[in-house]
Amino acid sequence: MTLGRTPAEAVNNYVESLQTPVSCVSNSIVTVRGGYYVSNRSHILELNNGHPVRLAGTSRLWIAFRQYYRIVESELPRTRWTVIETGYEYSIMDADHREILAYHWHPVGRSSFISQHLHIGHGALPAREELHTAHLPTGYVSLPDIIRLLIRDFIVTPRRSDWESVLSA
Amino acid sequence: MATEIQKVKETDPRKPPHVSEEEWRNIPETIPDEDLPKPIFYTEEDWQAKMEQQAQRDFGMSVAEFFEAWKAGEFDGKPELHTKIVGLAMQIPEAWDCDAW
Repeated sequence: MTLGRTPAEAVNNYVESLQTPVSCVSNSIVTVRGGYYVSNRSHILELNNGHPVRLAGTSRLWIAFRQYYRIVESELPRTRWTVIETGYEYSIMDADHREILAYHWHPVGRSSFISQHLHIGHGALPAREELHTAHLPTGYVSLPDIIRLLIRDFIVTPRRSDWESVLSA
Repeated sequence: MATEIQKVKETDPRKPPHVSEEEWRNIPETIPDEDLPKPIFYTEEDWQAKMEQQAQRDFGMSVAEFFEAWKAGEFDGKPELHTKIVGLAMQIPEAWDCDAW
């Protein structure tokens, strides 16, 4: 939970808190759509203007992500505002920008996918065909979770030696 | 002879197995917060222009045309487009309240 004395401070703290885990694998910039005002509708932020970012390492992977958030009143004294996540899209892609994994959390509608889920993309071939259309249930997945996955299991080279402590903070 | 710092680095348990010792020695210990890139805050107009580019690139249509097509179910049964659909639709505030998801 990211707190602030004003909505703008809460947003600034939140966005800057994302730039730190990003720095474990990329020097790309987080960009934000306005997003300083209190609203029932979600604000948006994304990495590198929504364009995939190349990651260091022999696996030649790319990542793209977009998050959605709202500013709400905190119950804590002196830190009146907080930012809460309301959705996300994290995509891990191969060198040809084919999606390998996509973690989604999007609004509920006529689809039955009412919670966070994972897609196995065509970049993960060969796989059973059902996997390419399945919405595999997951719990909430954070940006540090994704970056830890990339470094540990997708042989991405970290950009800083203290990556584990950064991602655990 | 390796310095004490190099010795520590060579046995560093934080080093992922796929990173060579030589690579690891060249990775900085940390990146100070003040050296991190600063986030960019777009105006609503600039973001709208960016969304239009995204809609043209991914669907060959405007954002408004995409929204109508999506609500009408024209993208149903196209799982290969799912991430692109989610990525654009979620940026349309009105889309959050509709049942096309």
